Amino acid sequence: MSIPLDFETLRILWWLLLGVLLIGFALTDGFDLGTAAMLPFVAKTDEERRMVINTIGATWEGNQVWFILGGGAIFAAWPFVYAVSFSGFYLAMFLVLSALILRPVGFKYRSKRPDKAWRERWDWALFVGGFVPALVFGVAVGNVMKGIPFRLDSDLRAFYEGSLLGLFTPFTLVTGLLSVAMLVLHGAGWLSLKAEGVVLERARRWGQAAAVLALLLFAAGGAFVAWGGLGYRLDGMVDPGGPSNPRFSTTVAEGGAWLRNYGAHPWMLLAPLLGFLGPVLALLGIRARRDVLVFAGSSLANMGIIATVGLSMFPFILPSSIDSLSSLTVWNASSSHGTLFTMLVVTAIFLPIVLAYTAWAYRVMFGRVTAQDVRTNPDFY
Amino acid sequence: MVVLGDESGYALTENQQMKLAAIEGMWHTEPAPAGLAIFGIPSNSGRETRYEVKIPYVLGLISTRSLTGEVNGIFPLVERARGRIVNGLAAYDAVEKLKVDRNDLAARAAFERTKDDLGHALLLKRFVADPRKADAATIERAAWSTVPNVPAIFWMFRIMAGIGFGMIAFFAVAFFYSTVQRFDARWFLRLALVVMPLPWIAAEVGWAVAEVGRQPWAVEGVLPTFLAPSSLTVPELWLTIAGFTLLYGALAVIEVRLMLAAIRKGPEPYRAADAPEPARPDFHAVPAE
Repeated sequence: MSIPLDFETLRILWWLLLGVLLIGFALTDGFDLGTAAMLPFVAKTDEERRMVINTIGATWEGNQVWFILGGGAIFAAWPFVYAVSFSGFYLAMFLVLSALILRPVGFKYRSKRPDKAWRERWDWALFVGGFVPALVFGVAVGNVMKGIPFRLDSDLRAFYEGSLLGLFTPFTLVTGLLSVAMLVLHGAGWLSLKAEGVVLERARRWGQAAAVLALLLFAAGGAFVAWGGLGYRLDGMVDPGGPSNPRFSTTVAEGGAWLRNYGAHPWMLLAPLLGFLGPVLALLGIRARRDVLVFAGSSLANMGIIATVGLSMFPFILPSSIDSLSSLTVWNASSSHGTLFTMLVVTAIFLPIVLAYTAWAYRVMFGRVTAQDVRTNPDFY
Repeated sequence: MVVLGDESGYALTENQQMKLAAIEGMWHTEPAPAGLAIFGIPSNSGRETRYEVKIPYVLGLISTRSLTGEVNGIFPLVERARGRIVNGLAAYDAVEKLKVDRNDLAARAAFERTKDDLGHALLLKRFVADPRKADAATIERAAWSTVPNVPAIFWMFRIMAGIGFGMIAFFAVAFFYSTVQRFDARWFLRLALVVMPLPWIAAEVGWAVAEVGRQPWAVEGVLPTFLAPSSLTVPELWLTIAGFTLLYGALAVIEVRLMLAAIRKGPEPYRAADAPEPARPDFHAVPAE
């Protein structure tokens, strides 16, 4: 059978799908993480905390599947990326998993006993389960932009030469905190739609602070990208439909190279523009008490900021900071032509189904979680 | 379950012949149909299985589903592996030439001819840095490295299969007793308690058979296990094993405590909508925590 789409097109489509999955994760599970990270601060009494927990209690598990889907997509479509990032970021991944494991038990165990100290402990466990992944994801993205210390030997086996502490540098702390600010903003947008009373008021104040921080940190990240000596470019001709062998292309480190795409394709500036516009809209929404606008603004902020990372680096996915023959790009790190096409057909069938039932579930659970609900609904946590 | 086991045994005959031979401790090919060993003391160093007790014909029947199909023994399989290693060296050589010059057409043609055996040539890397420099003795060692730990697999498989048939017998007795409405056979009730962990043991042991039995391959015939791991360090692995054990251990303690509390609390007393509460003189409510 001949494949109706050429290799280059399929690679671009799968790069786009990777972005779609990451943004889908940030838009849905992002507000769970952000809401959990705010839990001890926007809600003080047990009833308030239960209100916050139950705004995400029904949907967080479904949302987290985007994370698993993202991992699956990288495994199937970008196997080199999977191998290098999962063993390179091994300890960071361990940290994220340990924190994420606290979420399901936090949700379920918290309501099993009435005493205050017990519940207080689980509230902090839920905080860790929201804050730590948000921070580590951002730190990881910052490291990807900086380049990762790995090399592929001539048999294409990956060797990682970094350490866990080496992941934390000024730039990656900026991206890590940006990720926290962006997700807390999104959590505040979510609570604007779902909570009421004093919790809603506190969420608005947290949203305000997070939006301002997100704007500042996004700008700081931009400054690092422009003047901080970050960036890579491919040297010489590269065949976008060529075989997936990273050692066939040469990478050169070049400060400011992450801005090249915007010069060549000015339409890409739309992404950073959205990244700035989103928090501003959210701020306006908080001022005007227009809750839908807050959530729309925080959603646009997430989309814009994530798309900015992807577009700045294109065609790079994981540049290597120590070996010019190891960087992984859209053109050299994908699965085979046939695999990409088969997977695309599967995705084209199932992604709309997933989106449809997700939309339906949110429609069913639409509306605010009130203090009255918390007191009377026997199905609540 | 036993039907599924039979199906995967049949699949082994086609795909993982060495695993099947090791499960049977069968060093030499027997005239078809081969017998099924139920006892024996296999030895990797002696390359033999002593004190064998066999049921004639059965292995040939279940693994080839015919009277004439042969099941290969370990010696002929090692011989075949030796041939594939030698053939794979041509593929390895072609790959090394292609690394230097991607447009070397002769090397590409040689690779296409021999690529199926490249994985076998990689087995030599365990003994020499450059497989092309391997001498006959090294090739012999590499060929024998395709034999997994035969005694371990032989016995683990028998434990698993024994438990499987034991469970069939157990449920036959259970079926009999429940048909004749006898629920007071104390020896059987005791037995029912004791057999509870057996399915779990069978699953674990069967998993070990599958994993030990496919050594030295991570991907059969393609990627040797010793070339497959990542470059993570031993302290990193210890750290995460200890970390996850502690985390899950702590959660398990909490979980069991919650369970015990729920058990102490007891079930909600059943009350029909309008029936009066039945008198229960023997019931003492235990206060909940």
